[in-house]
Amino acid sequence: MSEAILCPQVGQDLTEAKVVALHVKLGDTVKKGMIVAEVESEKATFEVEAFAAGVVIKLPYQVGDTATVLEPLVVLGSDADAKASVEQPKKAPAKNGKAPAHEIAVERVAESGQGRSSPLARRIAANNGLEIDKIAGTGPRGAVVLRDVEGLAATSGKSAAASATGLHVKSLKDGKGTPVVFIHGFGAELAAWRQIAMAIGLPNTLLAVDLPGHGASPDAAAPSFQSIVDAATATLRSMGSEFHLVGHSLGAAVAIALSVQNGLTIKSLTLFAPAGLGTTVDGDFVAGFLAAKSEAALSAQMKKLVNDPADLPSSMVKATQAAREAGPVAARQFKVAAGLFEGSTQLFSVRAELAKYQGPCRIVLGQRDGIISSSETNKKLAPGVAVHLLENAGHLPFLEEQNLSARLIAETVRSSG
Amino acid sequence: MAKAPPRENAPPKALLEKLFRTAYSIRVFETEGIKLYRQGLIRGYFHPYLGQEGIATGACAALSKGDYIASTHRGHGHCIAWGADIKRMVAELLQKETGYCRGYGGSMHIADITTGNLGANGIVGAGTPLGVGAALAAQVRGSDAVTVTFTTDGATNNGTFMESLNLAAIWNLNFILIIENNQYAVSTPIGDSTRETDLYKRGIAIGVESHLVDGNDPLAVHDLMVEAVKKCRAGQGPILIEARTYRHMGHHVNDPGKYMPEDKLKYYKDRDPVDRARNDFVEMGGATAAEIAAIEKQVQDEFEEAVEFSKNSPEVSVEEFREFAAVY
Amino acid sequence: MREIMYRDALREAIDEEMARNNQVFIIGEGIAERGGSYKVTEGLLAKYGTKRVRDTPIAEAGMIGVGVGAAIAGGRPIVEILYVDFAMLGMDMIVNQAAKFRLMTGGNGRVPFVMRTQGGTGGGVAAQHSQSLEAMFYSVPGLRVVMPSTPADAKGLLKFALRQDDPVMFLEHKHLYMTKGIVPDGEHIIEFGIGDVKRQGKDVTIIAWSNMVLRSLEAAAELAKQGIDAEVIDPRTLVPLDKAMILKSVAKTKRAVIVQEACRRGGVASDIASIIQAEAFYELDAPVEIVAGLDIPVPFNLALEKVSVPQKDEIVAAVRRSLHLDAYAQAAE
Repeated sequence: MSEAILCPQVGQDLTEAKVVALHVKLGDTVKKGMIVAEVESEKATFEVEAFAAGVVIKLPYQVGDTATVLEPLVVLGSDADAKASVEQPKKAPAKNGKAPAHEIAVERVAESGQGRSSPLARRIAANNGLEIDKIAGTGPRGAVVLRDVEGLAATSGKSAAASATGLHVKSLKDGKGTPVVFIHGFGAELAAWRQIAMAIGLPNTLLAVDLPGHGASPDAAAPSFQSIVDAATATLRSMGSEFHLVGHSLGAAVAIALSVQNGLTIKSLTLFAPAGLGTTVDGDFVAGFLAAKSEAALSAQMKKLVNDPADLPSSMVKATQAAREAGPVAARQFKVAAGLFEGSTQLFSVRAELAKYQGPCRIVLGQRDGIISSSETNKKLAPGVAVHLLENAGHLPFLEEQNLSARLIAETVRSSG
Repeated sequence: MAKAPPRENAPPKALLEKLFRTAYSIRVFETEGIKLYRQGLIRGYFHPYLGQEGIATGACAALSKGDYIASTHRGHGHCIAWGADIKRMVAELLQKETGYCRGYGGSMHIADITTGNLGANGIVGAGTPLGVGAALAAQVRGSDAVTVTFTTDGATNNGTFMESLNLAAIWNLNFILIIENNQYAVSTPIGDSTRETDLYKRGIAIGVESHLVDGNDPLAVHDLMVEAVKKCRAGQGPILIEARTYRHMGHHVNDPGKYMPEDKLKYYKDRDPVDRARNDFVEMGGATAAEIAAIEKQVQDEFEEAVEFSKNSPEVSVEEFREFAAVY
Repeated sequence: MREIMYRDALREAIDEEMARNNQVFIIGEGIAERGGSYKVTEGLLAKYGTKRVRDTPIAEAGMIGVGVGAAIAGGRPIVEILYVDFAMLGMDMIVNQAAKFRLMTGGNGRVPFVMRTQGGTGGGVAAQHSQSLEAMFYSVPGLRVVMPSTPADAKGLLKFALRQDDPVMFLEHKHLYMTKGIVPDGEHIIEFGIGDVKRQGKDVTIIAWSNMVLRSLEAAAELAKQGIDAEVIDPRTLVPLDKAMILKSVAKTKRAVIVQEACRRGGVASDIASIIQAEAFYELDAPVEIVAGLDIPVPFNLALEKVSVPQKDEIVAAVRRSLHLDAYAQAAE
């Protein structure tokens, strides 16, 4: 067993000392208390005393070397050790070169280029599967804050703003001022508006309604367009008198019809691919859509709704399929359809109602709409109606051109003053 | 230099033995401790009491159980003279759980409040107000306990020196302040720090009974302290004592003390307090060479045992430290 | 229940604890014969005598040091320092001695030392008598920092201070001595580390201590008129800090405004803000607001003195910012 006599600490912060004398050589017998070496620091010379007895078996440094403090200066062993390993002194090790710089891979954080948001808003959004950068913020410099996400979050508890009676209504976002009511198209439900609602920079409350026979609303009283309008009218009246309306397809036709109902003041209309302005509809789609049993069949039908099939969210197909598996959705909608369409003919028209409407009205059409012909819709409209014909959109322009659509909704609402 | 007051009777042999044993224990602790430092077993700061052993040795021998001491950054000697356990002292310096302060304090902070040791102190001069405070607490309690603060010449130019000695004076506290005048504030000679180098005179200025004694004469320190303690307990405190001495080396273990003139160092080394205690024990107490050798061996063995004990002691627990930290 | 002044509540605490424990004693400048500058110790000399109620010379370092030494040796001293500004003379004793002793002795030694003093601005007493220095003590582990805002808290906390074993910086406020409040009858003790909700609210959390609690309550009353329901919470002791109370309130209101009289730089408010962001980040709907004194010595001129420390309107404005009310106005145009 060997014991090392260390180069002594000769200063609080000194890490090395110069060896100025070695009083022993290899093989020497050392007694406890003997001075075996002398080292020099900046300040003075220090004697190094053996604290144990033994035979010198190693002398790592020579006189003149710079020794590292608290590293062995003299190593003692037994006689046997001495015979086994008498080592030559070595030169003092070169000063430690600098260790290679530790390379840290710095991952550049992708710049979102999107708005700001409060930590709380981000947490709520994440918990509810909402994409924060698609939500319009009303906080400082456009930051998304609590009030912008509260209504969007299905779990936020505050969102169950529903009409007392009648149709199922849900708040997509709580706000203030005249509410904006979203009305979905045939075969859809209010959830269709969730994505775009997040992108709309309005302080208003955003509400969405399930039409009769759709979503969580009861079936229509009778299989007719009028019964749908009546149910919607009752529902809106139960919640207030002034609304902005946003509608899609069948929902857009309902919105136009609502604009002439007593007791309701419709401040603005934003209509996406409205029904009820032309006479035809893709009857094959309606039939195929309602008849589809598998997700694959449904997906094939629903792709007809968009110009670029990539724009159809697979989640939308899955949700529709799931709803059908969970209840008699298709059967209920079949009944609704019977009162609306006959083959490829629309059984209702809202042209007369639209002609009467005095408020701001904007119609957004997809040039490549295969369900309801955009050119048929875009005929002989009143000069006060603003029409946006989107070159690359189909029947779902609010999904296919979401940000533009969101902006158009906000502009229409604001333009009502 | 004041002489020890003449004795009517020869001091008892037991006292002389105690003085020698204490002074020698301090000497061994410091010289062996420095070796442990050099070999890295002791880390941090280490201010040896070498050359000043006579003061702590003489002063503590005049105190009783229930009294208090407060010490300096150069505190090992006071601790040992106060009767501390060498094992727990070494363990503290070796950062072990079994140390006086569980390795949390170190050389400059050994304290043992259970025995009235208010502790060494890393702040020069801080022991003076702390000692006066202990004396105040004793007075409020109605106790006749005496508190002794060992301080240094370097600390006498600090504001708290006068502030707290004055408080002790206006409240007649059982307080004895011993200035260990080793004539250097770190490396600055006393003449550069003050115009009046007779430090005991500072007490006179504020009405405190003050004395000068040869700090290298343990018996003289002891005898003067016996009188001072008696006066204190009779309500005549506080008392200031300047004990003049000299270090055997620089300020700390890494200070070679090149600024200390060789002739002066030789003068004081020739008047070594440990030799003085040994000679007193032999000459006045009739101790034989064999008795001396036996004591020296006991002391050396005790230190070696303490090192072994410390090396074999458990390391401090980081987990317990974290629990401790939670109280803050 | 009685309505009494802050200074009377303090005196009751000292009196009751001196009667209960004969190791409790008090020293300070002009506290015996004169009864103290703020009359906190009036009558104690007659009741407890010169051994336990002592006037001192003007020697803060010595007094504080002596108090620390007495505490180490088993006494229960209260050292009254006229102004917290003067406690700076005794910082070695506070920072290097009192705060360190427990650790340096491996937990064997304790320092049941109470330094009572007062700080804050107070009607033109100028730069050396107006400071709020709690951050200095707050940043030294080992000290307890107590800043009561009401008579009841002052009494309960001082009584607790005299029964626990760590050094306490008991920081009163010169504006508070004459304020009144309800103090419970009988034994009234408040443990350290337990904050108090001074006003329940749901829209925003205002965190304040000492005199700023009163000012925050005034701000809350103003905010109520604007339809904003502010919660005002008072940690009462900064060390230990009732983090749980703070985090709970912030989790409820989603917004925090911290008000301190001390200067903004290096303040306790900054530390509390860092705690909130670290431990309640995902609860926050707005940046944590700090309303603090200016980073400047307090001037003598009364108008400037007022500018130097937080006023009600600044608290109101900070709360409105945290509710995005102004930002909302911009967005709506």
